[in-house]
Amino acid sequence: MLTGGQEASVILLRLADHLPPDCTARTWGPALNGSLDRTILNERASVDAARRGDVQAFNELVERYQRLAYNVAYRTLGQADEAADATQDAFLSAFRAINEFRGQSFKAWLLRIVVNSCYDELRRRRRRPADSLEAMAERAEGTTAAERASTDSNAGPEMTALRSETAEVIQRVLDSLPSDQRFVVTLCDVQGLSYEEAASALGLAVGTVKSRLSRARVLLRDQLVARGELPAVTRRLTGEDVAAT
Amino acid sequence: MSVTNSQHLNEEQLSSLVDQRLEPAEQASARAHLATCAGCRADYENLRATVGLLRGLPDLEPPRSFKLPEKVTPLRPARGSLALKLVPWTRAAGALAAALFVVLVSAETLSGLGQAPAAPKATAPAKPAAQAPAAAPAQDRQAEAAKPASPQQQPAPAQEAPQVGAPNEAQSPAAPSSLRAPAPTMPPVVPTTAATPPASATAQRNETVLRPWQVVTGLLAIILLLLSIVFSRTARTQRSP
Repeated sequence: MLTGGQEASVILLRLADHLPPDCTARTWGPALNGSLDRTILNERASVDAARRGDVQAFNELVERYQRLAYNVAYRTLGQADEAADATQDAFLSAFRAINEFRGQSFKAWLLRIVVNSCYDELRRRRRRPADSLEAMAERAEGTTAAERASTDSNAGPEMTALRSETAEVIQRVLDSLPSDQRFVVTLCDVQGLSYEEAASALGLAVGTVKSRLSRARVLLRDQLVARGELPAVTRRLTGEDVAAT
Repeated sequence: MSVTNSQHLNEEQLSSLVDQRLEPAEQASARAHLATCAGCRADYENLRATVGLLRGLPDLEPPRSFKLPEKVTPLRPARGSLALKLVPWTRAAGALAAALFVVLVSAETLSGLGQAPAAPKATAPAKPAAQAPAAAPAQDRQAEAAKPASPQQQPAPAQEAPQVGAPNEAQSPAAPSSLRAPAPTMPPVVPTTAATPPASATAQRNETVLRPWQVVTGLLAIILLLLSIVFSRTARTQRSP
């Protein structure tokens, strides 16, 4: 990437300016539009129907959450096929375990199942070392295709999607993280969940999420600097943020 | 985790500051520190930019719908394919057939020696060879008894080899002495060539008795083991087409 440095700094400037003050805003976007109550009511109805074995009702939930589930799986597994397998497994397990759902938030409950399903997939990958090598080799192409296919991404208006090459580099860097950290980063930073939501999805204490997240971010930052996606010396030393608060 | 103006911010504080998740008082002093410390400010900005890049990752379109079929499959879904499920079974059956093959071959060797104990001298030259590279000549003999020797089978016959050898020594009284003083009259011939003539003689003698069963079990073992390899391959390629 010839103009990597320049491009990165442009992205940096743009994103830094538009980073929402509340990091949970992205995924809660629809809920914050005032339709929160209705969403939850609809969800309850679907869950109740699913409890009685109504697959169609459950599929409404699938439709609502499959994008989230697939993206969590993709970012943590770094491979489209495995992500699809893990997502499908998660929804199947969720349907079978729907009677165990007691919580307030179906999303939180589902995310936990998705995370477990991804961990299962990672374990399976470890059991077939040869296969994981193949997968790694295929990954470069797979990611390219997946990233390119996402040009119709519905990223929020304030968040212009990154160029696909940059997105690929970031995914590679994510892949290089220890898996526990990758899950935390995926939930908190890529999906924009709060510490509490991530903690419940991962079955961790909030403090653990915080510290894992900070370690992961430091590793990511160092790698991104090393790969020229972030300038080694930051160019925004104006202190405007300090003034803003 | 309180912060004074002079203290640098640690990673976790910087990270929490990016998320605006420090306690209000701590946040205020952290901000104050950032205003005066270019190093921490640079760290903070880079961390913030990192988070910005991560949040800018595109939301990918799922490659397909994950809706469940109307009739959801039995409790344990067909995770992985049929081929994947068959792998352990074919592998076990293959191992069983290989073991059976070894048992049949060794039984034949034993009964062959039992029927014809008149040739202890003939087997004697084979003993010194069996002493040093113990398993190899015994394997050769088995391999010749039933031609289709596959690499997968080698571990099994190697384990069986001592059992094949031990009763032989007991049956031929000449053997122990020749073992201790390895054939002084024999010129230093290459062990394998010394072993082959009597071995093939044994095989020829007993060929007619048990050979079909050996061939059947041997082939069965090979086929099953190959099948298990094929299954695991297809299961793999199915997973990542």
